Amino acid sequence: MRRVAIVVMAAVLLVAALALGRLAVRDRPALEFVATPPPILEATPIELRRGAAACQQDVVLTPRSRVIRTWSGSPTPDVPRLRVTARADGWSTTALSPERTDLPGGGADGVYDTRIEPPPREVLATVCVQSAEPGRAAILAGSEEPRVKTRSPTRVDGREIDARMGLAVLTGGPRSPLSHAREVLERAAAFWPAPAGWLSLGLLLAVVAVGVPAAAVYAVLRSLREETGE
Amino acid sequence: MLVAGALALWRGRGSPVPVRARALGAAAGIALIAVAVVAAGAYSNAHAGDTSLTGELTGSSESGLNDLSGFVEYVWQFYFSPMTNMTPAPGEGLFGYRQLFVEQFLTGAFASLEVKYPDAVYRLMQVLQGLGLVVLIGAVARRWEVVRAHLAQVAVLAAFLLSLMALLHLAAWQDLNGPEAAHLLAGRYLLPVVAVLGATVAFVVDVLPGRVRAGLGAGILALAAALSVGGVALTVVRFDA
Repeated sequence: MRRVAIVVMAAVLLVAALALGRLAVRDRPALEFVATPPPILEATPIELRRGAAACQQDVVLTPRSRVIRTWSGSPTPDVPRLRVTARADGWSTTALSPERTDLPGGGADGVYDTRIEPPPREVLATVCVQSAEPGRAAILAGSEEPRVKTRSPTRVDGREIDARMGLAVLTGGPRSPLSHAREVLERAAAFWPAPAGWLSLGLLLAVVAVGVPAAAVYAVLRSLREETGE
Repeated sequence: MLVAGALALWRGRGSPVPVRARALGAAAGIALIAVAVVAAGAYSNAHAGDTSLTGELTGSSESGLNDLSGFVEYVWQFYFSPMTNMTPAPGEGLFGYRQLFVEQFLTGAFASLEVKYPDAVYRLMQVLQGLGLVVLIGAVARRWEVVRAHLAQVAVLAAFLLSLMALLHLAAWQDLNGPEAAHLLAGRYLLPVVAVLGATVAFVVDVLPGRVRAGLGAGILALAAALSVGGVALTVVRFDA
């Protein structure tokens, strides 16, 4: 019985360890800031007809900012390209979303990744999004959910709307969480009171990752020992 | 409370204490608990507003309880496919047994339900839970004499689960009939019955023969440990953004 229990536990925990390892090393979009999160449960479409632009103020852009991400709210994958404009004091840039809308980040997959020229310094920018194709309206994904917070409301042609347009800033190519583990932990521990911080959070995670499975193994082995009277 | 009082009377039926005295004792105990619950509710209502103990029941729509057939249909469709002529519950999106029991309670969804496991994990857990229910029915049939000998304990455990679910469905039905038709239920509301789940799993595992018992028990514990650590890891990785 003991051997069966050990084999089963080892198999389950091995699969879990492999999954956790994959989670740690798998490349993910290198998000730098999230100005407004995408909808969580329910999207509100923001329709941008000819020439109309949806804008958000106070979007943080840095010299590392390379991509503006917005989310499509179109019910079909047939979507137009977008024109994204970012303006701050003494600086502005305009860019088009990928030419092939059917490729990842082109909009057909629900995500628009528009590459921009980064500002030379850290700025609080106003980012505007509009359809780049005359005669074709763009539909973006917004949210009216209370849990979706934003620094500034979304305005369409200067008029404030209820829906908040999802908008994020990426640093460029994908990267794995493990490659910048300290940064991830620092963010997770941002509101922890001193002297606790990223290091203590990391240690706590290590204790949980090792301690919880170890406790389960100990509980099983001990119960088997008691059952067999060893 | 009534179940507990009835069980106390039934369990003490062979004792030398007169029936009348036992009935009075049980009634006094129930009355004491009832007074405590009412007092707690009144105090909470006076000081906590919408977040009071009875806030979800009294602060929601008034129409919910007037439509008992709708309530019955809602509860049926929460667990099973709709029968002919059943009206779908108000509100958008599908929320039922799988979302509450499998995704949010047994497996887990985190950070206000934003961080989730891959769907394959939920599917696997749903299959495992279904198999567990089948084995539970078989275990009860096979060990009926044991269940019967502990009927009082079984009744108390069942009362915990059923009374909690009845209250939750009632409150959820009230909210669904409110102006926003909002879903109320979340897996964390089932935490009070974790002990019932544990006792049920232990009973099922104990019924099985030696090696299967050891393997299944070890597997369930390892799976629980893996899901716990995995949930923490998924949530931390969310801070990547």
